Formats: sequence, C-alpha cells, structure tokens
Amino acid sequence: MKRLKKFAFAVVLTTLTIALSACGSGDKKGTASSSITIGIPQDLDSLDPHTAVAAGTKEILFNIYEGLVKPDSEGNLVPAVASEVVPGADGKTYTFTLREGVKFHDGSTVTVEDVKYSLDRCADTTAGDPLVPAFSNIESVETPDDKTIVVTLVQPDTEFLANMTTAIVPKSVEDLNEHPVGTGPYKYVSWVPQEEVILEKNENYWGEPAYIDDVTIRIVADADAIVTGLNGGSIDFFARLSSDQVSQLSDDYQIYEGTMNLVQALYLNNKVEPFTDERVRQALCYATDVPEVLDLTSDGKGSPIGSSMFPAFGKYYTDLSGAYPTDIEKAKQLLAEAGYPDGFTFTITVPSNYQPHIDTAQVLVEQYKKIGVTANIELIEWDSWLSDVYSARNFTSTVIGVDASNLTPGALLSRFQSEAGNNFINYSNADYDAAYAEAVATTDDAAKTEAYKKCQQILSDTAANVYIQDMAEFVAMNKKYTGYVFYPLYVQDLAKIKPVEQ
Amino acid sequence: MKKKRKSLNFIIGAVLVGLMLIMVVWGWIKTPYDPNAMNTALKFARPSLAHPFGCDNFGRDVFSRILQGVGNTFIVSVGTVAIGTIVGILLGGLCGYYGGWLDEIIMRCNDVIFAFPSIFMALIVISLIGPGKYQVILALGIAFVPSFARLVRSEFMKQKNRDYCLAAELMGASSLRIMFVHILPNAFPVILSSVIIGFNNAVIAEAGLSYLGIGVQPPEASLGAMLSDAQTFLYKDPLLCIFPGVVMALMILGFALLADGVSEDK
Repeated sequence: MKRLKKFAFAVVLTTLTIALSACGSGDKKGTASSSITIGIPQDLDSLDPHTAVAAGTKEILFNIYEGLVKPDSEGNLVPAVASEVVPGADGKTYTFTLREGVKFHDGSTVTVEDVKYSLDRCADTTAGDPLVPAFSNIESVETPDDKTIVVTLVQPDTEFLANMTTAIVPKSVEDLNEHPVGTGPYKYVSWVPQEEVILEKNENYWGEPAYIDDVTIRIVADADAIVTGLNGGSIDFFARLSSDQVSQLSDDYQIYEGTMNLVQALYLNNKVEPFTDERVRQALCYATDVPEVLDLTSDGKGSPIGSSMFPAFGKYYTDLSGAYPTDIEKAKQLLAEAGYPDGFTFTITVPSNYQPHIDTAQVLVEQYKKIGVTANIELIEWDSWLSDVYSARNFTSTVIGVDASNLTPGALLSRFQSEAGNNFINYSNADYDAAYAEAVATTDDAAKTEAYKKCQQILSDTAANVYIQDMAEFVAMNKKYTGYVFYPLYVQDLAKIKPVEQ
Repeated sequence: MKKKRKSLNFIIGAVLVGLMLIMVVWGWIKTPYDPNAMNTALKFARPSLAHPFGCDNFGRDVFSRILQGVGNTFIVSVGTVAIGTIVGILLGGLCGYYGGWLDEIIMRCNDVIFAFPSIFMALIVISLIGPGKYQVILALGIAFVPSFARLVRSEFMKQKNRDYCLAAELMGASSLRIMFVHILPNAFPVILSSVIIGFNNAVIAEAGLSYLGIGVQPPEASLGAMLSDAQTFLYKDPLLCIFPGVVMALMILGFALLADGVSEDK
C-alpha cells in the first residue's frame, strides 16, 4: 500500500514537472528575443558603485552606471555623461562639458550639481582614504556654469582621465544600495541576495540603446552547477569558464575565446631567503617552461607574458615573454653561483578556491624538481590569503593573478615601487623607483610610454617574479544570441548582446 | 570440532584488507611511474596496458597515483586511530578505574568534544595548526579520542569489580598493573572491533578533508583529493572518478566486513 502511494506520488510529481517544463519552454519561445539569463559565480557585494569593491560586482554595475567618460572595447576612453573633455596643457585641469539631455533612470535630468556631488563623494577624506584612491589628488571640482565641470588637480597627472569613469549618481538619492539609479543602458529592477538580480532596458538611454529588454542575472556559486545549468538551458550566458568546462558544453553554445586580463605569476617575496638573491629568482625563471604550463593546464590557451603587464595595454605593453627561455643548465649554474648547488626547499602558498592557480602551481613543482629545487604547495582559504599573504606579506611565494582596475599602466606598475602600500612582494629597486617616477611626472606621451616600458624591462631583468601568462578566458553564449564583445578590463557589456534574427 | 569456522564476512574482509595492504606496500616500495610526473601527450589517456587505469588531466598515471593515494590514506587512518586509541585507553582507563571527580572532569570535557561532529572538530584544529598530512593526523586523532575514551571507560567499569581484579588487588598489585596488565587484555576484543570500525571512519574522514582541500597537499595524491580533482571532469572522463572511488569503497567494505567477522567470532 505504501509502495503504491509512493508510486502515485512519483507519477503526479513527474507529470507536474513535465507540465511545468512544457510551460517554461513555451514561455521562452515567445520572449526569447527580448530576454536573457546570465550566470555569475558570486553575489554582488553592493549596488552602490562607489562602495562596491569586488571585480565581479563592478562588471555588472558597468551596465547600470556611467562616468563622465567610459572605456570602449578597445580600451579607449570615450565621452559618456560628458560630451567633451578638454585636458589642460599643464596636466592639472580637466574641463568637461555635460552632454545635453542625459537622464537618470528615475527620469530626472543629469545636472552639474549631480556630477559635483558624485565626484566630491568619492574624494571625501573625512572617513579616511577617499573612495577612489586617485581622487586624493583632486584639489577642487568647480561648476562655472550649468554645462561645465572643471576638475583641478594638486599634482599634474596626464592619465587622470582614466579615473573619471567613476559613476555619476543623482544627488537626490540617499541610499544607492537600496535604490540604484544611474545613467547606463540598463536599469535596476530587483535583487534577491544569493539568487538573482533583474535589470531592464533603459528606454531613454542617450546613446545606442541595448538590444535585449530583460536581463536576469543568476548567481551560480557551484562550479559544477554552471555546466549543468548551461547544458540544461537555464542559463544562456556565462563568462570566465575554463577550457575543461567548455569542453563539456553542448552544441547549443557559441564559445568566445579571450584573455582574463590579469598577470598570473609565481610571485616571490623578495625579502625572504633565498629570493633575496636575484640569481635565484632568475634560476626559477629559466627553470619554468611556460608553454608546458599552458599545455597541461589549459590545452595551450593563454598568452605567455614576461613582465607585470598584459597585451591589452596596447602601446604601453612590451613583450618580454621570451626573456627567460627554458634552460635547465643555466638555471643550475645560477643556483650554484648563488650558493645553492644542491637546490633548496620553499613553499608555494595558493588560495584553495582558485583551481587554475593550483594547477599551475602543481606543474611548477614538477618543473623545479629538474633543477633540484623542492617546492611544497600549501593551500589556504581566500580570506587567509588576503590577510596573511597580501596584507601581512607573510609568505615565501604564491601563484595568483593580479588584475588592473583601469587601463593606465600605473594600475599594474605602481605597486612595485619600494614604498608602495600594496607592494606585497617587497620588491625594492632604486632604478625602478626612478623610472616609475619619471613615467608619472613627464607629460610627453612618447617619453612616458618609454619610461613605462623601462619599468617592465627592469622587472623582467631582475626577475622580480616568475611571470607566466595572461590566462585564457572562455565565454559561452547560447546560439540564440550574438554580439558579445571582449573588453580589456573586467567588465561585461550586456548592451551589445543581441538576439539572432530568426 | 570445537573451533568455529571463520565466517564468510571475515574471509572476504580479510582478502580485501590484504589486497589493500599489498597496494600500500607496493606504493611505498615503488610505483610503476612517478605518481607526480606529468606528460602532455598522455592527458586523459584511456586505460591501456602501459597505464591500466589511464591518465589524468596532467597526464599522470592514475594507477601510480592510486597506489600513492592508498598509502597516504592508510598512514593518515592508522595515525588517527593510533592517537585516538592510545589517548582514549589512557583517559578512559583512568576514568573507568578510579571514577570520582577525575572521571567527572574528563568525561564532561569528553562530552563537549563529542558534541561536535568529528569533521567539524578536525576543521577547528586544522584552522589552528594549518593544513597538511601530519596536521590532519593530529586533528582527526583528537576528534577520535572521545568515542574511544567512552568505550574503554565503560569496559573498565564493568571489569574492575570482577573477581580477578579483586584477587589481584588482594595480591598487592598496583593500580596501574591491574589496569593495564589485567583489565586491558580482557577488554581487548571490544576495543579491537571498535578500532577497526574507527579505522573505517578515519578513511572516510580523511577523504572528506582531502576533498575539501585541507588534507594531503597537492601534488601528492590521496583518494579523497583524487575524487575532488576528478569531479571537474565528471562528464569528460568519468573513469577518473570511478577508479579512486571504487578503491575507496572496497577499502571501507573490507574493514567493515572484517569488523563484522571479528565480533561474530567472539
């Protein structure tokens, strides 16, 4: 009797599921052209563009908020809320003209007051460091008339414009986390923490409007659920997949291949023995076979790099990936010169939630055996990594990827100045400090580019770290959609995605 | 024929455990290949004569890794059970034999530790002393003490009022002598079967911790860590999951049957 009941229940349940799914797919067909479901691996940390810190949050907020200027897919800064930018000749003033008729999502028009409020909010130092660190350089934000904003700096900085991507928000809204209001191509509808965020198209967008009306952003924390979700059709789009995940997807998906825009390296603590010795660091570089790392961890995908910069930086980037060709004999010789003829033992600390970095570390361990160096991997949690390795600098070496917050070379290179607060590898080199200072101070573009290249060259020559690659990134999108565009930054531009014409 | 024949459970269990011990020793002496050696050409290689269990995502020989993994799992389990048993016998013996306030204090502490699931307890210890093979032995060992202590205590309480104990006492034997020379051998059968079951639990706990990435550190292999790594390739190459999974299942089955057989024999 009991068994019969169970069976009946199962039948009811199955028919119910069939009914539900039938209903679901029918629903989808009708509206497929105007909605898309996107998967992201982690929840948003805030909807306030000025206080959000996680890269995963900023890539979504990119669609809701805009600054006076915004980056395009080439990495250039193009006018957004401002229609025109005139940099002063001395590199100390920037004059912006407000674009006419730009409206916030709540219907109000953007005024110079809103702009001044937004910039002042981010430059405010009453609570310690300003929300945008570079804004500590702002002397004043003035609005001579109702169309013009003049930003004056304390120190000349010809690259300051990159920070003007800071979101412009209405002065009238107190709590942006509760009521996010921006000027972007999509506007916020609702957010269920740990579940989903819903956006809809901004009909009054000043520029080229988005193609898709409704966007559901679903939070899928489990890496294995991502593949299941994509294959099952509950997610249409997912960025930052690994080659292994991609290989398990069905034919319904178009795979876009790009790079993650970060510097993956074996970062060496330059203040810990034996890495105080440049020759030891160089020996590790010679012992590292980057093509083999790529073959073993990502089917050969990824761009080898040789310094702390990745190719997306265009003219500033100089390719140094060939500086240390794999040469076991040379590595052994350097070790012997440094006083380690029989090798040594060291620890590689790796955050346990980043499988690609763990994989890379495992390959390195094998490669270093060839020069008699024993490396031991220690997995720690991401929080411990941030506090012990990154903040307290209490580590010997670590495999991690460092990304850039904007496309100025300083975003990657400033940390290697001897006194920099985020110089977690304790790199200290007087030549480097001089080269970097020159790069920042000069206003001549050619000289600046040259100085930044010199910085990269010094990092490579002194083998500051064992540079590996800019990792491959795979984006899977259902073939019902097209138009995905890669950016050289950590953003997803949803407005460019459009449904395929049937 | 007074002596009863060994049960079928015991025989199957003993064979499985014997096979496992052979694998452990084999792994210690020499594996067919270096279990950590990578080879681009052999990524996801199918099982063949050269590589009976195939190769994993780094082109490492799975059979060699399983030999190493079984060895690591075995060391951790033996170490865990050894700590649990020795400390458990000491504490349980003292409590059971003397009783009184000492018993109260130790057993209440015991209860506190017992209140946490053993994996959770091990996680707390790991967060204090860091991850690694030997740290896991210590962490799991501590987590395993309470159940042994409790068992030994009740056994000692039962035994200490028996005639042979009283006789020994009258003969002038010291308390320690009575506890460990007289009572312990008599409590041995009970302890033995729980040691075997404890060993099983230790295998599962070690696999769990390695699966979470805090046990044996990569690139060294352990059965749990191999399962965890293979999960990513569940669709692509299910064999990577199946081999370590089956070996672990047989290992646990073997010890479970052996424990069954031992208790039936009494």
